[in-house]
Order: sequence, then C-alpha cells, then structure tokens
Amino acid sequence: MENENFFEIRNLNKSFNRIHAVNDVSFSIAKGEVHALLGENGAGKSTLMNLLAGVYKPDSGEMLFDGKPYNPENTSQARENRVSIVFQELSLFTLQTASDNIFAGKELTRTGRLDRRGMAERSGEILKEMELDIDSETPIKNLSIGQRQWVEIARALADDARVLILDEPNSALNIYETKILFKIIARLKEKGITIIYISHRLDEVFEIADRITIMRDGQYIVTLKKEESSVDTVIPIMLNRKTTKLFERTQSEVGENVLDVQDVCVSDEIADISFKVASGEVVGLCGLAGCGIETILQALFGLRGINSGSVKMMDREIFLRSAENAMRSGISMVPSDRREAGLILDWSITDNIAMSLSFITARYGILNHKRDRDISSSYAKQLNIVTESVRTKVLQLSGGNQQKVLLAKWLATNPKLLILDDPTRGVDVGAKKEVYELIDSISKQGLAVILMSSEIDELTSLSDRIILFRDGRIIHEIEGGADKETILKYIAGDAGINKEKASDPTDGAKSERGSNEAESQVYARLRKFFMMREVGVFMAFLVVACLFSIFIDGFMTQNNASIILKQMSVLGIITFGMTFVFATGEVDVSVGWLLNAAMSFAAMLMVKYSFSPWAGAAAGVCFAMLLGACNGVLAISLNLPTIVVTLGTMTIFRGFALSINHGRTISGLPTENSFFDLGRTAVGGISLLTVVALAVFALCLWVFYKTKFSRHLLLNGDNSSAAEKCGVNIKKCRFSVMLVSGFLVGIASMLSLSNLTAADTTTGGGYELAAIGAVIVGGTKMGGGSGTIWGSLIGIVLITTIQNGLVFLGLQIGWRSVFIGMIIIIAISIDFLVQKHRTSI
Amino acid sequence: MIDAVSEKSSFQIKWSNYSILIGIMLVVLIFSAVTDTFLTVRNISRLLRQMVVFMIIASGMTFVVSTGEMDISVGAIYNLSMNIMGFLILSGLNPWFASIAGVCTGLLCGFLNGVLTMTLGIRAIIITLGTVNIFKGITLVFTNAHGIGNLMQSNFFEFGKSSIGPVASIFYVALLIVTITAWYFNNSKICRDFRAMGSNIKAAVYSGVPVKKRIVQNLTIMGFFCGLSSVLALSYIGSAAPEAGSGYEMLAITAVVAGGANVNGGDGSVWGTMGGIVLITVIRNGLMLMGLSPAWQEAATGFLLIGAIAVQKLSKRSAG
Repeated sequence: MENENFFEIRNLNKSFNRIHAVNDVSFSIAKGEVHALLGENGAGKSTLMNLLAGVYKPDSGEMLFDGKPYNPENTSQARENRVSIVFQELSLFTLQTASDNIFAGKELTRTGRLDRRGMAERSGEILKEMELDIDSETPIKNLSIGQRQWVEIARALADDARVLILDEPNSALNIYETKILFKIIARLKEKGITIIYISHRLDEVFEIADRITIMRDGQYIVTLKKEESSVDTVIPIMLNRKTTKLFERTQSEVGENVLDVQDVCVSDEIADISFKVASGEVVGLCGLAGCGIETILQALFGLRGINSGSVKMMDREIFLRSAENAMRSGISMVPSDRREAGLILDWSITDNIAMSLSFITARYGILNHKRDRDISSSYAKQLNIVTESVRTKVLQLSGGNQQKVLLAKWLATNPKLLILDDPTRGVDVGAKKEVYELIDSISKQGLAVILMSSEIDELTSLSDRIILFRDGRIIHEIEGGADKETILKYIAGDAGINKEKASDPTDGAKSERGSNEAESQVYARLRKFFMMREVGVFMAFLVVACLFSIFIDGFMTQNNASIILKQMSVLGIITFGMTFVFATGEVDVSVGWLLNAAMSFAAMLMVKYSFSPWAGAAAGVCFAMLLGACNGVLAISLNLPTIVVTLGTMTIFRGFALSINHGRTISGLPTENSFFDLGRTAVGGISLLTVVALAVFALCLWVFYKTKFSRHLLLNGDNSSAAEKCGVNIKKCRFSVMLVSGFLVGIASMLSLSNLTAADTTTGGGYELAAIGAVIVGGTKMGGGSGTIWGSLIGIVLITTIQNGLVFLGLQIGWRSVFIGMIIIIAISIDFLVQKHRTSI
Repeated sequence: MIDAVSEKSSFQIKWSNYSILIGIMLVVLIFSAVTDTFLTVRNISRLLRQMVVFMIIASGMTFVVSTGEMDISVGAIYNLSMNIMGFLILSGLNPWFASIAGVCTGLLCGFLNGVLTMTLGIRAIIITLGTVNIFKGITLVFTNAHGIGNLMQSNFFEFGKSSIGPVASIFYVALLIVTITAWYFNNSKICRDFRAMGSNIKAAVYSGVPVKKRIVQNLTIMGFFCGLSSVLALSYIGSAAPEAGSGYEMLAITAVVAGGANVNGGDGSVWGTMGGIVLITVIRNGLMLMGLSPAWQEAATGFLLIGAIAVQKLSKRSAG
C-alpha cells in the first residue's frame, strides 16, 4: 500500500430530481487494496460507483486517478482509463460465446476484419489466468449463473483494468460460488489490481476487504481498517442506531398440521421430499442455489408438475395444477422478485392486490370492483402501507412500501399456508424489520409459514425449524436458533452427506466437462454437422428438387433453372438484408412495397426526365435507402419495434408508388441501354442478374461474419441494454440496419427493373413474406442475436424452387399463399422442437 | 360504470380521449370546409354504415393489443368467414344458419392462431404473419378466385339493407355489441388478466392467471369478432369477394393505438378504440370525397398509425 491516494474522490455531488444521491463525498482508495463500500439501500453506493465508471456524470466535484484528473464521459472512456465495473445485474449476451462476450464492444480487428482467432486466444488466456475452466467458445446460455459472473469479471480484465468495481457480485451466487469469487478476488489483488467491492453481506466483507468505507444517506461517513473494526461496530455506523440481533420472535402456538408433503419428486431436480408444516409455525428452508428449494416451492404453488408423491392440506390430498389452484387450496406464495414476478408497477395498489383475489371476489367471470377495493384498503391499513390512497400507482411507492403491497397481495387471498420466497430482498433495514414483525404476527394468528431467505441470519432468527436441502434432497432438520456455522457445514460442507464430493469448488464443473470430452470427437463433429440448420435445409432442398424433377417434365430444364435463378436473385438480395434485420432483433415488412416504390421511381426518372438508365438506377437505389432511413428514424425516435413501424410505412410506400405511377405500369424504358443487358445476357446459362446477386451474397457474407458492424448488430439483437453498457451505439445499430435493408432492396429493385424492363404496380407485394420465410427457414432465430447468411441463401433457394414447382403443377395463386404461410409456421415449429429437444438433453 | 383502467391513470386516459375527440372535430371541420358533400345526411349515414365492420374488428383488436400482441390475420379471417357463408347460402342453407357457421369459422381460425401462438411460444404477430397467408389462400382456393353473388332472397339480407331513420340497422347492432364489449373489457376477469399479461407476464403467472389458456382465449375472441363482423357485412353487401378484407388489420391496430392503447400492452379502452375508428373512417371518407386514389386512403392509415404512436410517446414523455 505504497500509494495511499491512488484514486481520489473530491467533493463529488450528484442529484436526481430532488434526491441528493451523492452528497459531497470525498475519500481515497489505495493502490492494490480491496476497498469495501458499505451502506444501507439508498445510501448512494451504486450511484457513486456509476460516477466512477462513467455511467453518470457528476454535478460537481472531481476525481483524480493516479494523480491525474479523471472525468469519464461514458463507460468506454472509463474503460480506456482502465476503470471497469461489473454491474449488479448481469449484462451478458446469452446467445454469443464467452469470447464474444469478453470482447463485446471492443472487438479486436486486423486490417478492418474481426480477429476471431486473436480474441479466442486472449479470452482463453484470461480465463486460464483466473484458473477457471470455461471454454471460451461456449455460448453463455450453456453456463451456470456462477460461470456467467466469471465471464463478466473476465470482461473487465480484458481491458487490463487497474480499478475493478464489483457491485454486489455475489447477490445471485450460492455460498459455494462465492468462495470461488473470493479466490478470484484474492488472485486479482495479487496481480496489483485495485478492487472496490460493494456488498450487503457484512461477514463476507470482513473476509476479503482491506479497508471499509461506510456511506449513509448519500454522505461519506468513515473509512475503517478491517483490523480496527468488526461487524458489530460497523452496523451501528451504517444504520446510525444500535442493533443487536435481527429479530426476537414471540413464541407462537403450534397447532395442527396444515401441510403434509410426502415423497415428492419433480423431474430429476428433487427427490423424496417429505416434510410437514403446522399452523402457527415458521419453517425455514435453507440450501445453496440449485439445491431444489426453488423447485419445491414452485411445485407447491402449482407452477411445476409433481411426478410422484403426495401433497396434503389439512389432511386432504390436493392436486396442484396452477397458481390459482394452489390459492384455492389455501397455499399462497410471495415471489422473491417484486419487479419481475410480483407486481405490475404502473397499476394501482388496489388493482395489484385484487389481481390474485379474482377467484374470491369475481363471480361468473365478472369483477367486483367494490369488494376488491374494500379488501385492499383494509390490508393496506393493516400492513401500514404509507400512501394517499389505494388508487396510487405502485410505481410511486418506496421500495419498502412496494414490498408490503407484495405481501398484502397474497395475504389477501386468505391462505392457510404462506410461502415467503426471500421476502426482504432489496429492502432497507427499517422495512426489513416491519416484514419480520409481520411474519411474527401472522404466525401468531395461526398461519403456517414457509420461509426461504438468502440470508441465513434471517432464517435462524425467524424460524421454528429449519430444513436443510442439498442436491435436491432434504439432508437435515435443525432447530430455529441454530448457529450459522452448523448450517453451513450441512449445506455447503460435508456434514451429513457422503464424502466423495471434494471441497475444491472447481471440481463440479470439471467432471461435467469430462463426460463431454469422453464423447468421441469424430462422432461429435459429425453430429454437430448434421445438427446444423443449413445442412438440414439443404437436404430438404435436394429432396424437393428430386421429387419435382421426377414428377414434373419441364422442371429440370435449363430454361426453368434460369427462371428459378432469376427469381431467386431478386428475392435473395432482399433475404440477405432481412437476415441483418433479424440479427438485430427487428423485422422489416415494408421491403415489398419499398421495392415497388424504388422501381417506379427509377422508371419514372428514365421515362419522364430521360435520365440515363444507369443514373436512374443509382437514383433508385438512393431513393430506397432514403425510405429505409425513414423506417430507421421512425423506429428510433418513437422507440418502437420496426415491425410496427414498417407495418405503417408499407402502406405509405405503396401510396408513394401509386402516386408515381398513377396506378399504371410504367413502360417505354430505353431498353437498348446496357443497363437492361443485365436481365438479358447470360454467361454460360447463368443470367448476369444471378452473378450480381452472388456478388452481393459474397459481400453480405463477408460483412456479416467479418466486421465489427455486424458483431454489434448481433450484440444489440441479443441484449440491447447490455450492448449499450458495452459502448455499442444501439440507436446507430437500429438505424443503420434499416439503411442496409433499404440499400439491398434498392439493388434488388434495380435488378428486377432490368429484368422486367417495366415498372408495374404489383411486383413486390408479398416479397416480405418470402424473405421472412426464407430467413426463418434458414435458421436465423426470431428476436435477434443470431443469424446465418448461408442459411438464408439455402432458404430462399428452397422457397423459390417450391414456388416454381407449384406453378408447374398448375396450382393457382391461392395454394402458393397457403404454402408460404405453412412454411413459416413449419419452420418456427421445427425451431421450437429442436430447442425443446436440446433443453431436454 | 366503474372503470378499472381509468382509475389507475385517469389523467392520461382522459387526455388521450380528449386528444382523439379534438382530432375528430378537426378533420370534420376541415372536410366540411373543403368539400360540399361531406356534411350531408347521405354521406354521414354511409360513413356510419362503413364503420360497422371496423368497429367490431377493432374492439376485438383492443383485447389483443392489451396483451401486448397484434393479430394481422383479421382481414383474412373476416373474408374467409364471409366467403364460407356465401358458399353455404348459395348451396341452399338458410342465411341465418349460415351466419352461425360464419361466426364459427372465425372462432376456429382464431383458435388456430391461439393454439399455434401458445404452443410455439412466439409472438402472435409472427404467427399470424404466417396464418394470414393460409387463410387468404384457402379463400382463394375454394372460391376459385371468383366472387360469390346472386344469393337468395331472405329477410337476412333485408335486415342488412334496412335502416332506422337515416342510420343503417346493422350500425345499431354494432353499437350494441361494442357497448357490451366495452363493459366486458373493464369488468371481466379475463380482460383484466389480458391487461396483466400485457404489463408483466411473470407477475400474471404468480397471481394465478392461466397464461396459456388466456393466449388461446384472446386470439379466439379476436376470431369471433372477425366472424361477427363478416355476418353484418354479408347481410348488407349480399355478396362476397375473394380478396376483400386486406388492410383491415392495419386499420384495426391503428384505431386501437390512436384510441390511447399502449402498443406494448397493458391498457386500452374500447371506447377509445371507437374514437380511433371514427377518426380513420372520416379521414378516408374525406380523402375519397376529395378524389384521391384509394392507395392514398390506405397510406393515410399508415401515417395515422405512426402519428398516433408519436403523439402518445410525446405526451408520455412530457407527462413523465
């Protein structure tokens, strides 16, 4: 600690609206230390860290980093200064590989091309340095929560961070994984990296921190050395009031059995779970993440099916099929995440509480607003929810009050058994106490309570009994007052279980991968090849082509092949554009009429204003790009999905086209010009149109796989908020992808014009469907984050071939329409089945 | 009538209701000034009659948009039911019975949309992008792309052409349906569940909403409304065309959004949607009277959709 003022914060201020989140904070961080930042919720820790990381800009004050002034404008500037933050909520791209994630937003390039190899090697090195066994080419969706967290940290290390900010990195981790995290932190410290660590778990802070800074109400209070302080001395400073124990429960009367769970199994996640809960009793459930508690709770609330075993309520066997079913049987569950799963924030308190009440108050499917309001008012009063009226939006309440609404919502269903899943997550200490009092009072009223909590202290002070889970089974049951160490020994240590599980935490991951490697490499490769979507679609194409050439005489002629190729050329280019659009998570349904409008525009220029065809064509492409840009601008400025925007603009484009051509085909183009040779000339039986289309294909292929641009499109499609944090300009992405789509449609429309030598009023109608169909058939997923240009090529070949065959078979246009609709549905179904198959493996 | 939606955000909903009223008055004023024919009894009664189909389809669409989804197969379903009814009447079935078959066709198509959306777990807008072609194709195939006319004499058609005062009888029927729908939308458990799903699907699951069932119900109800509207349309028009109904989905969605519903789901009001329908039909009618081509009438809908969303977003921004 030679450099005490390595990072200096001087008089920083930051306000949001009227809240002074960071109030004149000054302190300094020494080089190479682990500096913990403590404080209640709302003490301003996260805001301060966001100032350091460049997410927010301070209102006043300054920061000095290594003696130099440091004023990051945004996160990427902070990263250039080698200050990195790992955010509270994971911001990863689940469809991309670990390596892609680590280099998201700062991809390595070599002469303009993506340097995939370099990135993979470097990520491998970083992960190895952290002594983690993660393959850098594994997609994130295949990693566990813990592993994902390591990838986040690796991402920060890839910048050669000198200051690493960890904002509650272990809130989603179990004790096992937390241990690994601490190992990693220790290793980083050895390497001289300064770490700022925010956590609510005080005992852990004392395990790893060198110094501790405490904040309260946006102000800096004190910095302590670890040796000079303890959990007991820190808490009063944090809270500014003395606390000794979490809570002292009054003894409640334990009555008859309410819940009786016998030998319950749920798929292969939990087995032979049996326990009982009596009225007036609080039973705590404790275990590491993934030990099966979540599963049993969901099963008890009817959200998961039970494979075997029985559940009895008040000695009557019940069969749980849905949450409503469970509530009718007297079981209610308060979910842990009030924003995600609990409340609808922009609904009123009444509407939120009444939502789970409809099975009580509604009759014949009709709501009873008055009763809903009465019940919710009485619970709001009972739980002491501070609000003007029960019609206030939940959004306007404080976190603690929101939590009370959450509790009221399920208490109001009048349950006999209340399941509380982490009822104090994200609440400040004051509100926590109120929740404890509430648990105390409802158990006194004779309710049976099942309590699950991420804080063991909470379980030990509130429960009568604690049931310990491990690996999907119950391993032990202990009295409520038991100490933390005993519990930890059971759930994370080796007490009460066979000893073959060694204590080295990385072991589990290793054995998992070992079994994968056992699979023969050749077999795995073959399997991967045949699982590839492109291969499957190509097979389908071969089958279709064979069938058609057997049963249709004129199908396998050179003439017909060139017709198919011509059709495919125009549609293909649109499809490639659509692939980019899909990768970004957008859909463009205006391409068909955009094509028609661009064709009409170019033709009009050639005929009316006697433009040379090449100049007209160039103008046409520009016009198409302009319309594409309109789509983009509208989508960004209105912050809307492009499918909605283009649904509107497609009719507008059609209006443009009709106002240009006045509802008549524009003919009389100067067809002797070389521009129209494109459609006429064939080289070795292959039309020049096809040659152009193939060139465009090659270009798209290169752009899609080799450039930073499309990498960013994919990141944006995968997780746009994470992309923004990684310094990707998502607005630019959305705009430019619509521009690209417009450009490619422009090219396609000029090819089409050259081929038809006239601009009619119908060409283009329905092209959007063929393109979307081809993209989906080719294997690009809906919703963004993935894409394959090869797949789209094969997809469009397949679709045009089948359409052509149907014409030969003499099937009218209606059948072709049915067919396109079917192929979209079938392709989506195949995707769905493949996904289901994979997750079931 | 107690209105759960307006309770929760009375200011915003009211504001958008006013804004649409102002919009309607504005276009009415403009068209009355620009054309001589707009503000005539004949034109207004024609306007009201034109509105009938859209009123019903758009009230169904309010349900769909409130869950955060969009159904773009409504025009195709409408036309398919109409042609099936026409076909059945032509082969001798009593029109009143045929209309039951028409409604059932709508229900069935909607049910298909719903089941596909539920099982495949993909947004309805994409599923219906596929099924719209299937429904259109089926209509073309079994009508051989010919219209169905010369239907028999029946009091079914007499009713459709009759009017009470200057207003067509079918308009009263549509108004009745809309009134019931509006009440149902605010007071039924199903519809609150729809809104809950549009706001926060996970919270809906934990509150006991049977989400999968509701997805199917939602799109089935939509199909039912398409069937209903096709019955009223057939009773008035007395014939069926193979390619009618295109663009109706745009109209309906635009009306719902112009009526103040959030495109991402969670709210909406049937009366707001009706305001949207009046606005659109008046604009289209006015443009027609001014002698603009039908393409421009359709483009006007596109402009209106985007304009309505823009106004909504801007007002939200200024309110927040």
